[in-house]
Amino acid sequence: MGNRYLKRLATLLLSLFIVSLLAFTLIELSPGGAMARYLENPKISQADRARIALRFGLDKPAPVRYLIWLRNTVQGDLGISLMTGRPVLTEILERLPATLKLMTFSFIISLFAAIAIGIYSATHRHSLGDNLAAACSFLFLSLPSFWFGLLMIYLFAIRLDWLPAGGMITPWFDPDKYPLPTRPFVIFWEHTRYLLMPATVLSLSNIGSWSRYMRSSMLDVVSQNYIRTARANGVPERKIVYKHALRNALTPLVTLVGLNLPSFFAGAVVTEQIFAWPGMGRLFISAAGNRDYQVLMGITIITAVLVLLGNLLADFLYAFLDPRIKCEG
Amino acid sequence: MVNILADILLELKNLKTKFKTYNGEVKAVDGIDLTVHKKEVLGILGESGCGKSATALSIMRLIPSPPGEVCADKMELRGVELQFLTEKQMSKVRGNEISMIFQDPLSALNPTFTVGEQLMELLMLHQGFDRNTAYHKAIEALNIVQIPAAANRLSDYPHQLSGGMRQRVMLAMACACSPSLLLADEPTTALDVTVQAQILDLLSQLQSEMEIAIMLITHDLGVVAEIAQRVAVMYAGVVVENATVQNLFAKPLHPYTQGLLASLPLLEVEQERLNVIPGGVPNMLDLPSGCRFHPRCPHCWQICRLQEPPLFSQNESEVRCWLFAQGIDK
Amino acid sequence: MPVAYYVVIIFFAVFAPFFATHNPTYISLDREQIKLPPTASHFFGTDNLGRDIWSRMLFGARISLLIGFLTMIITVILGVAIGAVSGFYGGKLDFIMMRFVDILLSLPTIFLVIILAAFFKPNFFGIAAIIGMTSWMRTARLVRGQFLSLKEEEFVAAARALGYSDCRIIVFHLLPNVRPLIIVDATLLIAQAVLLESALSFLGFGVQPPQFSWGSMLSASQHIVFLGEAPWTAFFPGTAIFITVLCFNFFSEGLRDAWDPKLKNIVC
Repeated sequence: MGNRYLKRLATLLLSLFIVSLLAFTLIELSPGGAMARYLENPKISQADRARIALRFGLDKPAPVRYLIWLRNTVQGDLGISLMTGRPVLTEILERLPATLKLMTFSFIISLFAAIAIGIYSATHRHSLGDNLAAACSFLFLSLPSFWFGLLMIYLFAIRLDWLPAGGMITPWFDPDKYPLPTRPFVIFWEHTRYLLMPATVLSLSNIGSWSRYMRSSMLDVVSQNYIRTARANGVPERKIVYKHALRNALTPLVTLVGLNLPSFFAGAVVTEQIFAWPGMGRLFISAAGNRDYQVLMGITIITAVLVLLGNLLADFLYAFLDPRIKCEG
Repeated sequence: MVNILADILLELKNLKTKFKTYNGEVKAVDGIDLTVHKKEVLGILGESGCGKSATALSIMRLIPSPPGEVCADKMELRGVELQFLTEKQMSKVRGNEISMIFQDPLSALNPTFTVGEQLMELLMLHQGFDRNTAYHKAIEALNIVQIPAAANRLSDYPHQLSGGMRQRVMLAMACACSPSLLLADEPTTALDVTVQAQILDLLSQLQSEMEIAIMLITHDLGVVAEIAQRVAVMYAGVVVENATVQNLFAKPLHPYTQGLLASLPLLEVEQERLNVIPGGVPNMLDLPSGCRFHPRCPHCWQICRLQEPPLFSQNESEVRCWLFAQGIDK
Repeated sequence: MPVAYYVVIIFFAVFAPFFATHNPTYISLDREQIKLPPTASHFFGTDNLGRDIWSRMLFGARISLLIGFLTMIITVILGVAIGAVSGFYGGKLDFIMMRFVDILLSLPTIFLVIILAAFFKPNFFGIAAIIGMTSWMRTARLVRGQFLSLKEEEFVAAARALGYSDCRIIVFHLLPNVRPLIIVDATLLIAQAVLLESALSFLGFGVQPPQFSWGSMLSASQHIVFLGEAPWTAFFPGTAIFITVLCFNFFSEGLRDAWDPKLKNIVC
C-alpha cells in the first residue's frame, strides 16, 4: 500500500515540475517575455532596462533562469515581486489565509448542501422538491458567478443594507474610541457577515453539479442488492438511507469533488475581485495586470501544490470509505 | 395431508403480485396458495421468470410499491396477518421472524462494512443487545454456520471472503435472531458444486437444530431432492403441482413436472439428445388462454385451451391439470 | 424552445446595425444623457459614458457569440484530434497523453488563460484561441474513451483487413460513430466558452476597448456607487449571458435525451 502512495507522490512532483515549466515557457514566449512589464513604459530608458535586467537576473538566458528559479523555489525562495519589491512568498502568505478561509467556507457549504439536496432528491424522486432541485441545479450551473455576485451586492448591500458589499473585515481604527467587541456572537458575526455573500456565490455552481451527482449516485446505490438485504433484515428505512446507502454513495462524489478542486480556485479569482476580498485571486489579477511574472509563477506553483495535495487527500478519503480500494493498493 | 393444521407456520391464500410496466401489466404471481409447516423444508421449483422470487419478496413485503402491487386473501404468519402490519411493524418482523437469503452473496453484502458490523447491527436492532453482547453473539452465529476462526472473520470485509463463506455469513445473519421461517432464494446457484453440497447440509442442520422452516426457491431438481420435504412446482405465476418430494420424483403428475424430470440426463442409458420440453416459457404480458402450459403440453385437450384448471386433489398431492378432473367431459 | 432563442439572438447579432438605435460607441458627456434608466428612446438605458446599452448589447452579442463559436471549433478540433489519436493507438502514447491531460486538468484553467491574455494581449481571434487551447482536455477524454472501446469492434478489424490506412479509419469510420457525442459536447462547450470569455472580459483581460462584449460591459458596472445608481447597466448584459448559457445547456440536454440516454452517464 505504501507503494501506491509513493507513486502518487512521484506523480505529484512531476506534475508540479511540468506546470511550472509550462507557466514559465508561456511567459517567456510572450512578446517582451519576463521584461514585458518594463518594455511598454516609454519613460524607462534603455540604460534603466539594462540595470533592471541585471538586478533581477533577467539578462541570463531563459533555461538558466528557469533552473535558478527552480532551485530557489525548492529552497523556499520564490523571488522578489516586481510590483512591490517585497518577497513573493511574503506577498502570497499574507493573502493565502484569506483565500483559504473563503474556499473552506464555500467548500463546506457546497458539500453539505449538495449532499442534503442529493439525498432528498433521491428519496423523494419525482416529487415537487426533486423537480425544483433539478431546475435549480440547472440554473446554478449556467449562472455567471460574477453577474450573480453583482446582483447580490445590489440586493443585499445597496438596497437592503443587510450585508457588507466587500472587504473581509471591518477595520477597527481607534481602539480608544471603539471598544473591541468581546461577546463571542458579535465577533463571530463580524467575521461571518463578510464571508456570506462571496462564499455563496462561489458555491453555487458546485452545489448545482454535486447535488445532481449525489442524487444519481444515491439512486444507483439504493437499487443495489445489499440494500435489499438490509431491508430484508428489517433495518428501518431511515437507517438504510443514512447509514448503508450513504456510505456507498459518497465514494463517487469524493472523486468528483477532487476533480473539481481547480475550479474552486478559478471561481475564487473572480469572486475575490467582485467582493474585494484580499486573497490570492486578487493578487493574481493585479500581478497579471502588471505583468509581474515572479508573483504569477509563485501563485501558480502554490495553487498547483494545493490542488494536488487536495487530490491526494481525496484519494485517502476514497480508500477510507471504500475498503475494496484499500486492499487493492 | 399428513401434518396437523396446528403446525402451520405460514399460510398464503390467493397471493397475487402485479407489476405495472410500460408495456402492460405483468402478473408475476397470479393467485397461489401455499402453506409452510413448522420445521419443514418447502421447495419452490420453477424456471426463471415463473414468479418464485416474486412470491418470496411478496411475503416479506419487499416488492417496490410504485410498479408493484401485492394482494392476498390471506398472508398469515402464525396467525398474524402480515398485510395489516405497518411498515414499522413489518421491519420488526423482517430478519426476526422471517429472514431471507439471496442468490448472489457478494452483491448482497454491503461492501463498506465489515461482516462483524453487519451482523452486530442486526443483533442490536432486533434483540436489543449492547455492543459487547452483540459481538459475542455474532461469534456464536458464525460458529453455528461453521465458519472457522469466527472471531477473526468478524473484522473482514465481504470481498475478502470466498463465495461459500459469504453465503454462510448471509445464513448467519438470517438465523442470528432465530426466525421461524427462512426464505432462501436460489442460495446455491452462484456457488461451486462442492460448496453447494456444504450449504445444503448446513441448511438441513439449521432446520433440525434451530427448528427453522425453510422455503427453498430453486430451479435445480437436485437441490430439491436433497433437502426438501414438500415441493410446489410453479409455472408462469401459478402453482401447477403440490406434492411430497418422494411422490414428485416417483410419480410426477403434471405434464410440466414430468417434462422437467424427463429432461434430466440419465447416467445409465445412452442418449443421443437430451429430452426437452418443446416450446418456451410464455411471455408474461401475453399469456396463453386457458391452461398456461397447454401450448407445450403433449396431452392438450379442447378444454385446456379454453379454461384454466383449478387445483385438483390426487391422493396426497394437488395438481392443476384437467387430466385429473373427475366427471368432466373432455 | 431554446432553438427559437438562438435564431432570435443570432438574427439580432448579425443584423445589429439595423436594429441599433444609436451608435454604440458614441460617447456623450451630456449631463442628462448619462446613466439614464430605460426609456423609450434608449431601450435599456445608458451607461456611465452615455452610450446606449441596447445598441451595445446588440453589437456585444456579435463578439460574445462569435468568440464562443470560434472557441468551440478550436476546442473540438484539438480535443477530437488528441482524443482520437490517443484512444486509437493506445499503449504508451495513450498513457503519456492522459497523464499530460491529468496534469493540465489539475491547474485552474483560468490561471493559464489570464496569464496568456495578460502577456500576449490577444485580439479577437487570440482570445478564442487561448480559451480553446485550455479547454480541450475534457473533450479529448470523452473521445478517447469512445475510441478505446470502438476500436475493438469488428468493423475496424475489417477495415484494416481491407488495407485502409489508419488515418482513413479514424476519420471516415470511427469519427462518424462519435458524432452525436461530439455535437452534444460542442453545445456545452459553446456555453462554457461564452461564460469564460465573459469572465475574462469582466476581469479586464478579454476584449479591449473600443471592442466590447457582454462581459466587458459588466465590468464597467462593477463599482459600488455606480451599481447603486444605475443597476440596469449590470442587469442587461448579465442576464443576456445567463440566458444564452442556459439555452445552450438546455439544448445540449435535449440533444442528449433525444439521441442517447446512455450519454447521461458520462461525468462532466
